[in-house]
Amino acid sequence: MADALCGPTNPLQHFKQQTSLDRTLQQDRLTSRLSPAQGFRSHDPNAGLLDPEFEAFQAGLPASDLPQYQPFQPHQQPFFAGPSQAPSWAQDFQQLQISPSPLQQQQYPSQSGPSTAGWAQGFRQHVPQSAPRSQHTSSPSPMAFQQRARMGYGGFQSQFTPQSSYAPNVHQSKGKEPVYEQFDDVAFEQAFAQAREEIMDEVEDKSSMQEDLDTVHDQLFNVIQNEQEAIFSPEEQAQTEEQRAHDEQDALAATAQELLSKVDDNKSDKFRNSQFLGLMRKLRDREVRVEGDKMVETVSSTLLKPAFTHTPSHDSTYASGTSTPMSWDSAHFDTHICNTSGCDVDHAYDHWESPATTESSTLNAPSTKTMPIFDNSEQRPSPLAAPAASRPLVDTRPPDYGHDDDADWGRIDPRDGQGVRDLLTEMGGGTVQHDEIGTSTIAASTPNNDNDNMPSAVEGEPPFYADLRAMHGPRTESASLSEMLYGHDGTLERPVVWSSRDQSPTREQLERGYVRKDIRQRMH
Amino acid sequence: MLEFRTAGFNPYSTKYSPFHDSRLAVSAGANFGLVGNGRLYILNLTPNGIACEKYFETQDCLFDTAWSEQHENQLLTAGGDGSLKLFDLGVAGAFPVAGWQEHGREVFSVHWGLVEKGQFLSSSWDGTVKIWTPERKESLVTLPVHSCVYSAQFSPHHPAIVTCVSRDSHLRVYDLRTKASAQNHLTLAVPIHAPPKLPVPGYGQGSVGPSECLTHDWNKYRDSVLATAGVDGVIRTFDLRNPSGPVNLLPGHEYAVRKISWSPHLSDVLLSASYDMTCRVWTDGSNVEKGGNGAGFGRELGRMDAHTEFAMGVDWCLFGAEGWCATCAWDERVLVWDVREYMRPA
Repeated sequence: MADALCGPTNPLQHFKQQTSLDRTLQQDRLTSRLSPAQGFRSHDPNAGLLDPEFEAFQAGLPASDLPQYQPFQPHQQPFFAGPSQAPSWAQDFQQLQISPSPLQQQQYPSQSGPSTAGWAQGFRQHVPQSAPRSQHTSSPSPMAFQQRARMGYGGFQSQFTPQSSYAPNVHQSKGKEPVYEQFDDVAFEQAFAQAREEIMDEVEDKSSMQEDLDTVHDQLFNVIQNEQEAIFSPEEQAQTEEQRAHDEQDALAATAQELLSKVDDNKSDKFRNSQFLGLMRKLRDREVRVEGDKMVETVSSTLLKPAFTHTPSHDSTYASGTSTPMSWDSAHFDTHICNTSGCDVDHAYDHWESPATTESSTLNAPSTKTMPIFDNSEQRPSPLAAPAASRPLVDTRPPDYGHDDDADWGRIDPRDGQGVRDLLTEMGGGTVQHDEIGTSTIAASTPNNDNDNMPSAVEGEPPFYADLRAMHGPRTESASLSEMLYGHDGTLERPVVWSSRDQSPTREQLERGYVRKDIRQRMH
Repeated sequence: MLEFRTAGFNPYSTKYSPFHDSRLAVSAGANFGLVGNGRLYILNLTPNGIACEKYFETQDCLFDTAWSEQHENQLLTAGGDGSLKLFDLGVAGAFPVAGWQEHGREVFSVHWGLVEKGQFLSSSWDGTVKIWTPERKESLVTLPVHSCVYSAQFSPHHPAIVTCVSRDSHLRVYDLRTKASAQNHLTLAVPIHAPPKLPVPGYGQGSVGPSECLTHDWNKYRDSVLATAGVDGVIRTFDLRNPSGPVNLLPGHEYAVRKISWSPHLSDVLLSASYDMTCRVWTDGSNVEKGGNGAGFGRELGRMDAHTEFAMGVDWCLFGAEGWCATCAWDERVLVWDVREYMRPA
């Protein structure tokens, strides 16, 4: 796994980059050269001394057969106490007993690691405590923020941790056969991951202590966090994952703060009203967190808001005070029938846009005050949204918006775009017809709707179905072309997944997704 | 000024088709490209405004796009998941016709060869520039840069010259005709932060610190001239015949410059998009007819500040009158406008 050369860094990462550099060119030259032991300048004083040991190692003899350097063994043993599931090359090195020179012995502290590689501990002693927080030193820029946000904390993400299935494989030495064990990149990287985990654990301890002193708000957040962990993730593994995610959010918040401080002196309206900077503020205040590939508002912001009186049943799991974030999950966007008696509100909209559901509102939802000249977002009808005869006016603004001057009550009327809808129903039986490149065929010949003369979004944007083959059948017309371009192995046609990466979306979900995006557009 | 809203997605890059004067591609990502899906829009300029002809969804944000120079319906995208994808507008369906996955990190720029039109390149945060051909699954050449590469381009004048700018504040020039020795085709590494040969008024003498360089572009007429810009907000022009430092400096942007592009019509004019939410038109002062004498001082010609978020992408229209351009910003808007309407007197 290549690591980005930009974004957050720490010394461990630098070290790893050095080890993973492509040195094949240099290595080519090195192999053709004579070995340095054969009369080049500096001669290793241990060279001759180690030869019999290495011979013994190659012959598969136990090291105890070489009695002359026994006194050093206790010091050496912990240093190479690797993980129990260490790969074979590491096992070999455990067998290899090399007599150290006195100089070497001073350098390496004899310390026994309980679970992870001992060398990592030694390495950690050389790396000062500044390691994980050193990202503050890199130059703050919008780009740097983006890199951090995309990379997560420290650049090592859990998705990149290698598979750990190494059976202890003791090398069977056959006489003088050269021991050319292949260097195991994966194992090497795993060792790095372990070392980093240890560092992270320390930092987590420290940072959580600091946070306790921080603010009441943070304490509350932590309590909720811990409660949720206790309830939902009893396994320790999950807990550390949660901790790491939490730490990642911390780093993100710090970076957002850094970015905001850079533009702090800019008092222009543009910067004050910027959605992106608003998002940065929310990240800084931890009102927003990154969950997988989504950004969700945390429950901590909901706690500060007045509770909404009507909580429909389908939201009840999320309204129970846990911090389980609700995101743009298509499962929650159905135009359901509300179970609450006396509720006749069209829930396709208002559970998203009412102030009580901040925990489930997305980031792409701040209201923009300026109506664009060419606003196609208002014109797309939702195929599933039944127009209600009389709807209460809803406030579409985020609850913490704070400006009263731009109230836009009732802007999302389901009658919006009704003209287009009627037109389409009239023309094509309620669906937009598309030719093979996706252009709407009604669009070209039909005059536009009554609202304005701009082309509507319906013309240009087909309803999105991730897998068009469901409608059109298997793709045949491009078979030869795609064969030529190596697109035939199936990887290219993997459907794009929105909400969960595990399952491919069903048709029904996609239709809901269409509604979902429609709502999102309307919230702008 | 024409406008198109990429609702729900924040555009990163926009490119005019080299084949059609009315076709425009926009690559975008949800949540400002931090997390979430990406989308590639194909827009048509119509008498009624801009209409979306088609769009493609991808799993991760699309940071850049480039039209194929040899096929009018094909275009390439740079994905946040390290993938390159080739989409074909003539093929039905929502999927690319080809894809390449070699980069280990976010691919941040793609560029199609302008002379040797069977090649394209990509640059990534993993510190490499890779050169590809659509007919092969694997990359042809990998150029290690050892620093996060934000932008890479083929020279528009020579098929074997590749340049890139990176986080380490250097402009690197690669000549693919040279042997791939220890230099890996690298022939020049120009320090971008070096002081200019001649003092520039309004800009202090002496070396400034290095800063990340985010974008660069080849001049379309003068075959040794490039411009770079980055986090320090200063646009610099370089002449590779004198590679020790910049020729001209164009200070003015308040924050980092995200994208620059030389005019395809005028040899001295370039357009920039910046994190200060403006797009500005500049001259580098080299126009002889305007009294620049080939080495005058550059200045800002005009400014368009209709965008309300960070401006991300600019591109000039190759066809028609020389002022038309397209810009996009994180305010989910693509604007098509004429720079001549925003010129202001010197």
